[in-house]
Amino acid sequence: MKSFLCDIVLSCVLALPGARPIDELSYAAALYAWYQEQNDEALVEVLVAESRGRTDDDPVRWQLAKGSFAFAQGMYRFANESFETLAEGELSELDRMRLAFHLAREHYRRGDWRAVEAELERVDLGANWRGRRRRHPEVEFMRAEAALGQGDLARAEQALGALSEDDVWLAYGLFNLGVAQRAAGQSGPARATFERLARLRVETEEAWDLVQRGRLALAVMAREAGAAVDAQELLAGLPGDGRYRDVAMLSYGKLAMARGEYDLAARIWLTLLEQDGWSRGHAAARLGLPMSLEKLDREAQALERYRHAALAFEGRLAALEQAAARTDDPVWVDGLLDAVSRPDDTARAQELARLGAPLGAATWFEWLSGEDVHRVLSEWRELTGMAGWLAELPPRIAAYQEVTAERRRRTAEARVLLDDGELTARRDELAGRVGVLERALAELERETPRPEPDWMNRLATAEERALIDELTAMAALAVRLPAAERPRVEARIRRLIGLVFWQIADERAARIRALVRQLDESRALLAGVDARIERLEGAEARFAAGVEADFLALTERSSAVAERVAAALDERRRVIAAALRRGLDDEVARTRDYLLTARIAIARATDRLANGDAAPAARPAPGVAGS
Amino acid sequence: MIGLRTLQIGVLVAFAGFAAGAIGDGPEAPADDLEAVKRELIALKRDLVILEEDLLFPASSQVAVFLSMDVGEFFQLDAVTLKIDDREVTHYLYTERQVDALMRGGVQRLYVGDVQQGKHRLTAFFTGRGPNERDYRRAATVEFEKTFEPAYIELAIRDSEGNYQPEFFAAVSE
Repeated sequence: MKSFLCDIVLSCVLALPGARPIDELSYAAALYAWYQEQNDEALVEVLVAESRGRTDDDPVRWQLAKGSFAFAQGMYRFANESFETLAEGELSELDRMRLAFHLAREHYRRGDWRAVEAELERVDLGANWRGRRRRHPEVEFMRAEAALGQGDLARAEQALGALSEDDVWLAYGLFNLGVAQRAAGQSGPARATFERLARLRVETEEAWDLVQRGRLALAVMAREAGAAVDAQELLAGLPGDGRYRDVAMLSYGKLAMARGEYDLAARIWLTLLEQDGWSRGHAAARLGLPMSLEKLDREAQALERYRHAALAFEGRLAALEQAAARTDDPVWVDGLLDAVSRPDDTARAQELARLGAPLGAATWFEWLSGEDVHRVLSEWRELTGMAGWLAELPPRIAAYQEVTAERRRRTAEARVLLDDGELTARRDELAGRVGVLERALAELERETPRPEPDWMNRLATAEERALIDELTAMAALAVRLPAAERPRVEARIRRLIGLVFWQIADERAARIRALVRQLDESRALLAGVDARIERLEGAEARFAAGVEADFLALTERSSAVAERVAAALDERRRVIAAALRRGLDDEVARTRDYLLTARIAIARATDRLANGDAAPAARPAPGVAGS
Repeated sequence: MIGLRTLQIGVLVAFAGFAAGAIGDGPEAPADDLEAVKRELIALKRDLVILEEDLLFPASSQVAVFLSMDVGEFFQLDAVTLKIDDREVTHYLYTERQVDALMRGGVQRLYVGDVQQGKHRLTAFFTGRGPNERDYRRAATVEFEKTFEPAYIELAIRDSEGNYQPEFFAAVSE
């Protein structure tokens, strides 16, 4: 399974009995980050490996990984540059497939459907042991999208058929297919597609959201087709809270009104009115409830509700105008953006609801989830993260500088020890020994052997040296002997010296070889000591020249990036503020329409009551009396 | 994988007709080049990582320990404790997501530290759930000689098809 997962997207090597080389481990470490969707970490891992020269083992896979990680990080130009460096001739068949997959993603992003199809044509994962074609969900999804983009709905449906029911890509694919079918006027297939989507057993929040949208789409289509009961069932099946509740209830209320079920409609409008804050459904219910009451011939109550609605719209109008004025306040905009940047939890929702109270929480969340706003907010969140990281950098660099200073101090201490201590003395001793040996060897190789202590001592063992010394001393004493004995003793001494000499001369070559070995060992020891001294001496210089310059460069670069990040944040703040202002202006215009409608209805209801047109209430509307 | 968020947004907008309308038009596109900023930041991060490594873990003392896992059907990893020369240097608890990343072929850089040159002994204790959901704790040991070059050690967890048991390895990377 693992190898299959690895095959199409990127290569990965399974663990082997022995430890893998560092190049391999670095590559897999990048994958580890990527599998956790830590794309920037994965990318940094690749770039570090590149700088360390660890990508030479298989440059193609590293380039593919770099491009893929950059793409996931939203760095599309960088990704393309990485892919473009790949020479066609260097690619294996599998690499070509991987490259095609990555390029297809890029074409998909740009909406170049023909190019997507052309690249995906190259992706063929073969068959499994049972002869069934192996499929990759994302590939099939892209195939379906490419077909949709070219208006070939049947082919899109066919591609989606390869996806399993619990695949999140299927939810996206079905939703888009259903939308396209509906837009093409293919109501039957669209309904079938949405029904399949509505039946999916999904596990992710995103897919669940799509399933709900699919159900809502079915309800709307059922309503369009006049199948009110179906629509009612589907709407009732939507979750009791969440973003679709308001939409569902509104649609449900309109459906009840259309079917003349005014009791039911009134209950729905009341339910909508009970929710906190403003939403499109809430605003519609303000008018919908009195309209239902009018239909139920409860004119007096309807008039009262219209008046309440008018008052509410006037209040909302004032709040909206006030909110619109606040979009000029960067502190308020920052508060909103900061709230959006927080983790998606209850506290964030509450803060957003508080900030968006004048606008209405539900409408607010819808606006935040709109594509363009979401993109800018995502960028804001990303930039805020960058700014946070950059803000932490100066103290980090300062800490490294302290470490460097400490290390330099220790190196200097080591240097002092080096100069005064044992290592230097040992080095000198070794150098002396090497010098003596070199000289002795040179002389030994130059001179011919002679039975003299001067020559013999150079090659003699300690025992032999002692013997030579003893015999030399005896020869000196022999001159004092009586003349008759002296020749005999001197001859004996010469014989003994001769024996030692012949022993040494006989082993001369072997003894010289031993001396050469000793010299080589001494030379190696001396080189080791010299290298260590050089490293210690060089370390200080390297710290001073390299690291300090790196710190300075890093500080300057981080300041420059921080400035650009701050400017980018400002730009998004401005863009969001402008969009907010436009959005609030639109909502003001809509609220004015509601207010106008309410005022016209008040006038109409007042006239009818004054003229006595209204019939007495036949029966109390459920939940309305006394409310 | 394509960012699901981006895709989701594309999909949601495509079906805007079924949703309640937004409060207004979307924002204009920001005029700056965000990608260029990201590239500079990534390059900065790369250089910082390199500097950090050179400074805090120079090659002459660096030891890095990696963890890999193959299949993992007979063992569900919970934690790893690492000891070098009987001194605990790290204890790591794994999330489901991290275990999944390991099972998919990722390798975790579990520990990077410094040791003196010479002989050392590294022991890793693996804790988790073994076959039949039983608590499982095993150790793997490796001896290594630290030289002037960095020492890289790979810990590996693998399934043994032969005895239906997990196997734990520790080896020095050449």
